[in-house]
Amino acid sequence: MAKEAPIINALTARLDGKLARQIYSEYQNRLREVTFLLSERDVFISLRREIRTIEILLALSIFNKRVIANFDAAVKFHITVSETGDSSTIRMGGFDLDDSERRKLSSVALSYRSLMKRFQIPEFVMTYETTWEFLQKIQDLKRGTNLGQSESLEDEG
Amino acid sequence: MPSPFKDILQLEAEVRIFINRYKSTVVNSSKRVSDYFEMGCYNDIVKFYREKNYTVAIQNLQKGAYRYKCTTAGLQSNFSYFKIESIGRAEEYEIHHNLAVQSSWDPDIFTTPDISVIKKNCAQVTKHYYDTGKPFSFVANEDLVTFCECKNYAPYPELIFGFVGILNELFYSLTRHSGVTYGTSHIAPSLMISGKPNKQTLRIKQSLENRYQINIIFDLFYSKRVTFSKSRISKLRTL
Repeated sequence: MAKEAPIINALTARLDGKLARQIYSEYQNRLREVTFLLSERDVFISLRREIRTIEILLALSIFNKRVIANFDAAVKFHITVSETGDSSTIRMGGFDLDDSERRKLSSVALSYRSLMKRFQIPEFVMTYETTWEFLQKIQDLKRGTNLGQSESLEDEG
Repeated sequence: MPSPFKDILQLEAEVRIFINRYKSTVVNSSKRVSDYFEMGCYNDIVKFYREKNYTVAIQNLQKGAYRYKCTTAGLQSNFSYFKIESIGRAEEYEIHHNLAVQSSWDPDIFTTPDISVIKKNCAQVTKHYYDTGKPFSFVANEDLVTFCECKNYAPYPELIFGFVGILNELFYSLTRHSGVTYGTSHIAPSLMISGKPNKQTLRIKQSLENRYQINIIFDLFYSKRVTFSKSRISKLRTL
């Protein structure tokens, strides 16, 4: 059986070139840092065997930030327009963000969150400034020390 | 429940199913994500005014649709916007997107903030901006109430200092303002950035907010649910 492409390639395949480059480039830069930190910093020793999980969560976190969060923003704006005015269509050049498009964007975001919840990955793990912080969060997740955050994940539904 | 560590193969398989199921929506929408980001910021500002007891109404629908101005080009009269009216104070303003604003220093130069709140019915048109005489929409500086810039980036010093340049151009008076106010009607000029700050950019935010009546809002995706929530909106600086 042919080997499947890495998750990051699957996530970025056929996306708009600029967006795909942003996601791919951030992923590669972070992954280089991850590799360095795992090999050189003993504080992350417990994560050395989790590289596959780290790669997937890293790819998903960047996808979350650059795609899912923006889909959420569009959905919220569409709701504001629909509730405020007599229109449920937002015209952007030649494209109409209407009820049907909004449902599609919502489905992607909901399905993504449902996947995260199913695997007990709290949203806080997906936001970080430094790669070090990202690894710390992964480590906390693994250790199960983030009980408070897990509870808040339940609250977020 | 499965774990991302113990059940890695299952996680990978389910992520691939997710990707394949939604590929066409994600691909088709991927060209518009930066517009969607700005929409989110625009929505937050509308929400701010709603929380401040303004009624909000959409104006200028085009053939039944809200026509969103994606770029700085185009006449403002061809695009939709929000009208806000203060309950009990009979004050009306408009929230526009990508509307050029006249400089506070020189009436012949303009810059276009992502979001601007202006006095009602004050968007103007001139034929003297372009050499070709093509009409150009703008608002006079004295009719600008406040503005916001939205940046879908990780914050870095030059990005933040660039905002002060716009502030200086559009709101010179605020660069000399030392007082800080909260709870009044209009949001202070704000820089809304999607990325998380590091130590240095946090220092810059603190320093600039000590000097100027502005908001610098970081980590928008994660924090805006907090920043623009009912309970926290009073923490934003206002004019």
